[in-house]
Amino acid sequence: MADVFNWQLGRDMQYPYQAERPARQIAWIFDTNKCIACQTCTVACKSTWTSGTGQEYMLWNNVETKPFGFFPTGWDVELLNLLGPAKWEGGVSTGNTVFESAPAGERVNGWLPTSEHWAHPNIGEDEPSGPVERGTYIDKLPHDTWFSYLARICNHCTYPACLAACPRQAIYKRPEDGIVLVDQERCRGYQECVAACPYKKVMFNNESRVSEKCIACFPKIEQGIQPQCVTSCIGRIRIASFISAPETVNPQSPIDFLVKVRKVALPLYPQAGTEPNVYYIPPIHAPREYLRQMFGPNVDEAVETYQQIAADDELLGLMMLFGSTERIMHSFAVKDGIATGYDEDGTELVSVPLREPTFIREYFDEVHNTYRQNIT
Amino acid sequence: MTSEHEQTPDAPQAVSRRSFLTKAAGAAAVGTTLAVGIGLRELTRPEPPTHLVAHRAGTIPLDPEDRAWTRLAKWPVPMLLQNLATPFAPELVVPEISVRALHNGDQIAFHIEWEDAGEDAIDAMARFRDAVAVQLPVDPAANAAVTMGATNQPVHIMQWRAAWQADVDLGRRGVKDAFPNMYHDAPPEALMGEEAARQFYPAVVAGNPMARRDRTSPVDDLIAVGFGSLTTHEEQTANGRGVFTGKGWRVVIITPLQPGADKTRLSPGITTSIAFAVWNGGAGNRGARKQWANWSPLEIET
Repeated sequence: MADVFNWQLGRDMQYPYQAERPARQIAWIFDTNKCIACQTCTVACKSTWTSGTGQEYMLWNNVETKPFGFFPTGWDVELLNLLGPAKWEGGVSTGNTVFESAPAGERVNGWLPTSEHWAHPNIGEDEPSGPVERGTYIDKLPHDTWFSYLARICNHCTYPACLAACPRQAIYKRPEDGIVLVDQERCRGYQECVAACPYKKVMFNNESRVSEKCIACFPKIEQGIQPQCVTSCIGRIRIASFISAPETVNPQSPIDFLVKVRKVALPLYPQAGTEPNVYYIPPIHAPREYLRQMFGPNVDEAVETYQQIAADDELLGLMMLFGSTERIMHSFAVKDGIATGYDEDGTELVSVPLREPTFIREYFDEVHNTYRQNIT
Repeated sequence: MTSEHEQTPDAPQAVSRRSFLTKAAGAAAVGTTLAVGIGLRELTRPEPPTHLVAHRAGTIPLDPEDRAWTRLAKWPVPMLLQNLATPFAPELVVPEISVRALHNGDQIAFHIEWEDAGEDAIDAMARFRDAVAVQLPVDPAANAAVTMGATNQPVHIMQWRAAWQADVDLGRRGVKDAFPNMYHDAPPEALMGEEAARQFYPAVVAGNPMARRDRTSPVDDLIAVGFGSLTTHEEQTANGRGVFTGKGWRVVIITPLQPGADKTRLSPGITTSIAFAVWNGGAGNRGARKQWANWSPLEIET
């Protein structure tokens, strides 16, 4: 075991290999507040990568409803059972990670889902946290009765548990972009990675008898294009770009700005210790206690910053740039009510207004003597 | 008399036979006819061998139930839980295997049997297959590390898997065999034909032996230089056959004495080392989660 620095935990932690951060790390931001669980991302991923025989059950991308949805069933409940409640002191995780809590004989503290766990991808969909009584009127945040959507892909972790668990080093993290891949030539189908991944995003191909996972659409990323799940998102909740190393902050980078400057985007179950690279803007209507369990101790600050977005032109401008271009946006700028995204060379990719011009019509249409259903 | 220890002119059991004659004579002097009858059954059981001898035979049957195998004395090998390298299994589930060996000057074969309450021959999500492996030092005169070899100490491993046996016996097993009631509305094969659909199976295109669809042998030749380094040999020469008896497995692994470069080359008259590993898929055994045995001598009869 080596001591490696995990910035999400605020401390060094134990990992089977020395830290070797990639030259740059692909990362995602998902704004859960905008997700409507239409599953367009799921279908885009499925039809691109997992339509083969043996991949029937695989959803490298899925959208589940919290609190009662999960794929595979109970993945997060099992993780929390294994690790116990998260412990944070002054922004530092004091609990044990999946590596530090590994029992004797194991590299990672994990569990192996059965076919039954994988059999209900839409379990709990749209189920609220409790019954809604007749006459209930929800007029405050967070809501007393709630559900929210959680879109999930492989986190392409800085310290992948799948990679740590493989006894034959058949999983590798690409030095050029941090994408985590299963070597399809070397894998012997032991499924150690499936058991190890706290997010359960490595899956066993029942036909090829090897493990497979989200490949971050690397053929697209290599051409400067965002992955399928990002470019297909009709709610424009996603962006994929690169995150700087922990000691560096680039305020022009969309990922750095949201994660490190405004700090509105947070890792999912950071206490697991893998330093996941998908960052979530938490759902502002869900109870804070639940959100702290999911996203760690910085939830309150993130939600409050997000709620002030109307007065924050930079944040608003960047959120307006989500889903506005297929290309990977390496930097952005907001000026005079216009947000502009740039590629790696500084060439403009797209410009969007912070506020769309709107015209509000009268509620009553005197010409046709009728009320209008849509007045904007 | 039981056929298990029946003698034939070719049978490589001269020592045991002499022992039988001596002891039978003694028993006959003191016992009743009935007692002698019972005693014979006991006394004809050959002495447990002190090490594994590959006896010379005319032909080597691939069928593990063949009498040429079952009449041979079994060499018991106590198995240990592999717990040097992580991950390892929580408990020993195959405490012993029994081994027999034959050679005919061209080929050498190992007959391995062990008890297993359930047949695990499906390779699918969270389901693992029974398996057994034989390990030989690539240089038969060298002391290779038992830990699947080491740098500059390569070992030649021949692994039999129950799932591969099913592939050979029944045709390539797939998702339909693991999940008979599954439904796939438009598999790529149906839309574009087998050849074009290959692109949907990266492991197949990459040549991964796990994904092989044209398997003719349930045994793979592998090379290793330490834990985690196991690599399928480019030239496959081993064969075998495994049968589940209802109480356990009987498996034959057969290989040419001279199997080619980078594999163990043996010849009659030499003594080398042999080691074993066995997996119970139903107990979650796979990869490093296995039972193994240390090196033992393997004598190849002249």
